[in-house]
Amino acid sequence: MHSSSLRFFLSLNLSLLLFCGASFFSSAMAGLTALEALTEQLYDFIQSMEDDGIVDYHFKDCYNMKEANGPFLFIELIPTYISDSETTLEEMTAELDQPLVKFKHLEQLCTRLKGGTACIGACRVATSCGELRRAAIAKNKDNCLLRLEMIKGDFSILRNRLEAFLELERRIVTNDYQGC
Amino acid sequence: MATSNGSSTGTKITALVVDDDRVINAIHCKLLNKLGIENHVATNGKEAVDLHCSGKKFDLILMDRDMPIMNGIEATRELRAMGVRSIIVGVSTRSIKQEIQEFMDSGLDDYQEKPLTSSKVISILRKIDFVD
Repeated sequence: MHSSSLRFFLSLNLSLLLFCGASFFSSAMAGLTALEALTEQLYDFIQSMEDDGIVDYHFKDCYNMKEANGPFLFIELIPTYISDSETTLEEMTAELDQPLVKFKHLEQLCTRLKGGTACIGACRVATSCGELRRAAIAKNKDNCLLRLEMIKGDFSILRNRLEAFLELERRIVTNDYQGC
Repeated sequence: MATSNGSSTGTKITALVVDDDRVINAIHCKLLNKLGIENHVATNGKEAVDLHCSGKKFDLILMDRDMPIMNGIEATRELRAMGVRSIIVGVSTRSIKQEIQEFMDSGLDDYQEKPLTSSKVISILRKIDFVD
């Protein structure tokens, strides 16, 4: 091949290589920026839940455990918590529907719900559980019914916020940064 | 009460998480993982006792109080009667003094209110000279 043609061919390939490299780098940087934006959005969301008194610092501590335990920790944990809590709330409702309420059983249900709730940092629902447990210890059915309704209300708020949180988290772990 | 019997594996601290709640088990196990502690799970007191009957040993046992089949108080008494000298820490949401004392009297070395945190676990490990 003529030396000038060879030079042209080589410079063309080099240009193409540089262009592809630059495009890839640019996409990677854009992706990283989008991830940072989404992560910031998620931490802002956690802060808003703390500011509203729905969760305390344990929630963030729990969330940060995924560094050592894999990215899917919360995506698996939160739906389990929601499902198990809903089951316990149904059992509490059923117990209080009985003509003769087994307050000891109701106490145990409160303790069960409070345990998992406190461990994920959902302080408002945990506090409400404590109040229901005190009503159950006092064997006061009317107060138990009132407290149960409060727990259900608090839990509904918590569930909605957790589901919104999970949506952000899913986008982070599945690398879905579109629309950031 | 019990004294440290050293790591069962010779190098890594081992722990048994005894709780019937799967969310709590998951969180406590992840917490222990983060601290480099090898951990196992039992979902009630009887499973914990059976594990020990089969020859398993653990440096640390995190024992929930309220569980079906065999609760934490019964399980702790049983383990101590079997001669288990592991550090047993009661973990519960109960905060009434008499309830905590009843649990302690069953043979616990310590009691921690849920939720457990890294700092609580580290303070337990410091007490038994596992960490500096």
